[in-house]
Amino acid sequence: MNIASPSPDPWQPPADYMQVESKLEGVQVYAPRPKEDLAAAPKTYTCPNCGQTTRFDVSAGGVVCEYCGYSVAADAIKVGRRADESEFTVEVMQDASHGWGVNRQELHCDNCGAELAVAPDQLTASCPYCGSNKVNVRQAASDKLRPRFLIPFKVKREDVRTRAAAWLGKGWFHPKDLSANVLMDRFVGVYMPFWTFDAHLDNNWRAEVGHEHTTHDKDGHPHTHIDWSWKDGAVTVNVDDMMITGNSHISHLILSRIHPFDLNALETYSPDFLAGWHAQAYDVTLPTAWDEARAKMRERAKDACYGDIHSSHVRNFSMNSDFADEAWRYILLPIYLASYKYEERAFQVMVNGQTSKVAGQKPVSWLKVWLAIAALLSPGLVLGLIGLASLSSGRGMIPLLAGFGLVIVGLILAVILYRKAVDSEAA
Amino acid sequence: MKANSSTFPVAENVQSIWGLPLQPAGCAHCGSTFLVEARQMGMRCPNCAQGELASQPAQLRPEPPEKIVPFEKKNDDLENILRSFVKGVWLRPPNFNVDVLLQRAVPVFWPMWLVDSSTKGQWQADMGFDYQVKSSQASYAGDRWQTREVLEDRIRWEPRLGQVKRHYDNSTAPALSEHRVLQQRLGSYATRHARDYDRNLLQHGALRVPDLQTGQSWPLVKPQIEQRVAEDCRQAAGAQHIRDFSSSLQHQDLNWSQLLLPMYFTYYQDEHNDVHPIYINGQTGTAGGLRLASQREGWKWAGITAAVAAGILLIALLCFILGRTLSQAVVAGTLLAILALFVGAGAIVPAVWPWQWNRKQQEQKVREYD
Repeated sequence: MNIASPSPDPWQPPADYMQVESKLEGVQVYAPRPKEDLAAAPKTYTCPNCGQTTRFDVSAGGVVCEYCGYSVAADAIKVGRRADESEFTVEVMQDASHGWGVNRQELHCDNCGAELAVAPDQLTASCPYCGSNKVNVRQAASDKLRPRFLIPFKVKREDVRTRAAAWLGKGWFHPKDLSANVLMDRFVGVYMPFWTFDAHLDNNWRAEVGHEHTTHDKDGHPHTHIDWSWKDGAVTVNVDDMMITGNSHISHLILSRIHPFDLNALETYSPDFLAGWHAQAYDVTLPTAWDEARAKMRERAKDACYGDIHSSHVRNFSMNSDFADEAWRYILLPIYLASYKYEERAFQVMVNGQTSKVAGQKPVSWLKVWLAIAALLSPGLVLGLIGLASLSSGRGMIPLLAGFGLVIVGLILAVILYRKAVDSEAA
Repeated sequence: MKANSSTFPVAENVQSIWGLPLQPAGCAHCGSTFLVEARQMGMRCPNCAQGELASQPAQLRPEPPEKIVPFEKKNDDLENILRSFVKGVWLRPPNFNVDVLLQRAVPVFWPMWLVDSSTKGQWQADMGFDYQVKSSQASYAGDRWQTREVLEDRIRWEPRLGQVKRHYDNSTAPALSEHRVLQQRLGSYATRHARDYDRNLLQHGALRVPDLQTGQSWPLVKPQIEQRVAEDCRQAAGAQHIRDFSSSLQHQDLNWSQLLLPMYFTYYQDEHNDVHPIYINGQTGTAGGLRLASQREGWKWAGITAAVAAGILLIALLCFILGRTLSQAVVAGTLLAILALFVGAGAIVPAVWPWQWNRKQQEQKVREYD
């Protein structure tokens, strides 16, 4: 008995499927064809019209030839915070622990045929022979570990100079001639590597919690007692897009001051954005960055648990945090970097390439700082001395106490001022 | 041997089939057909136990069965199986006992179709691939964090499609219209233990003749072949899971043969003389069938209990009469009266239990036939 339905045409798989290995004879298997990762192939940026070097232009929002005016929009899609996230698969974590890849990249210049040696943490290069711009992200340990999203530069280089000059002129405790004497025109636009992390933390805490109550003795004097009892609770913490820098050499302090970046502007990675710009690969591996993020998340969860306890008296606190839905992204963020010299000392400056927020090191005129501290402390000291001198006459107590109070206030302000001055020079 | 027709030749007045001294015989009561030895003519029908087997023509395949699952439970095992089958019933009909059941037990082979097919076509499915992710659990105590890594198993689903061209041997299909009921009563068989046809394996047993023709069974075997195709596709894709499988398949070169499964058949009569068959899986020993209690026995024991209660009550009354002269007799009379009350109330148990038990058995039967 044959039970068959006629098939008029030989079967063809859909165009977006390709044959894959079959582990059983007599069965053909087709899987969706992987999207061709054009971003992974090295790309040389030369003008198709005049052959000159092209680069990404912030104003045009695309790749532009400065010689003939050729312009093409960057091949990317704005995805924002919806940008795909990856899981912490065993496979990726193993690959990620090997770092970015090889020690040295060999890059072939399609324009002039030269072979270039590129530092392993550089994703872009310019050919020293023909000047063409190249973008290369091939050397990642795994496909997953290539940058897949970035925020393109929104701030023009000219604007950066103006903003930086204005920033230099701010603050009274810096040298007066700082903005006049410092030449800060060598801003380098760099795409910096960052990791973003998400997680859902279910936390259970247990602690002895004390509640105050007041009793009065037979003389009517109040006595405060703390009643301790064991309490427990559960707190959920959701962490979305916690950012950890992927570059260990950059100043984390200055970097933290130019935050935040608006991740709603994330776009799919396109080498077009990197043409003519510097871009760095991560040197802080995913497991290392995740350890740092996880430690921060734990502390955030701990704070949330303490927040759940409606008392300031807590002892024997313990908690358990169960991580779930952990996810990560590898992204590139736009930062302008510059350094300048003042009195033979080097200072770093960074500008957020998306928001133009400026931060960096500024030399401090310590004479001004110490004078200010003296000015803050002297009223209290003077008043205190007057009070001391007047004690014998019986009217010195009030000025003495007022002087003491002013000294305390002056000390607090002096410490704040001192720290601000120290931070200003710190990197 | 190929047999691709959906109807079979009629065997009539034959003295031997497949080299065995078997003759076709049928039951006028239930209509089932068997192959039995001449000496077994007139035996109680090993399907319904209500009619007797009489010689009659049967539609038979000319070739012998391809596979046979041999009897693994022998007569010695049967006694223990029946003993535990009967044990749960308290007030049994008189002939629902191990000796009678054992005496009436006959070995029977019942058939299933085995289908070989060359299958080709297209398929599509979501394949699931196992992978692991690293998660963590942290605990804080004594100003110190301790983090423990946890591996979680997840499944990544990906679409796959393709073509299949494979030969599938021995897909099984029902050959009897009451296949499902038999299967429910007998449980499953380990068909991988089936042996190639050997006439010695069939000696002394009655052989049930299929009453479902291959054309009727085909819709029942087709899903099974498709399931085997799905499993092959999963294996070919290197996946651990499969879902949403769909296919467009052509089945050619269908070859039908028989698989014979062993069972013992026996029966008992209840108090109304209604016959109740019992089936025992000849491979695993699973027994199935109605296990009815006797309401008559129940009434009998209820009556005996009530009589005992009445006797005790009578003694209690005597004690009360004696109590006029001997005061301690009143106490004994009171205790006996209470005892009579309890024993009398206990008479309801044997009266009601058979009805309750039989109702559950009948409900089970209804479920089997649904």
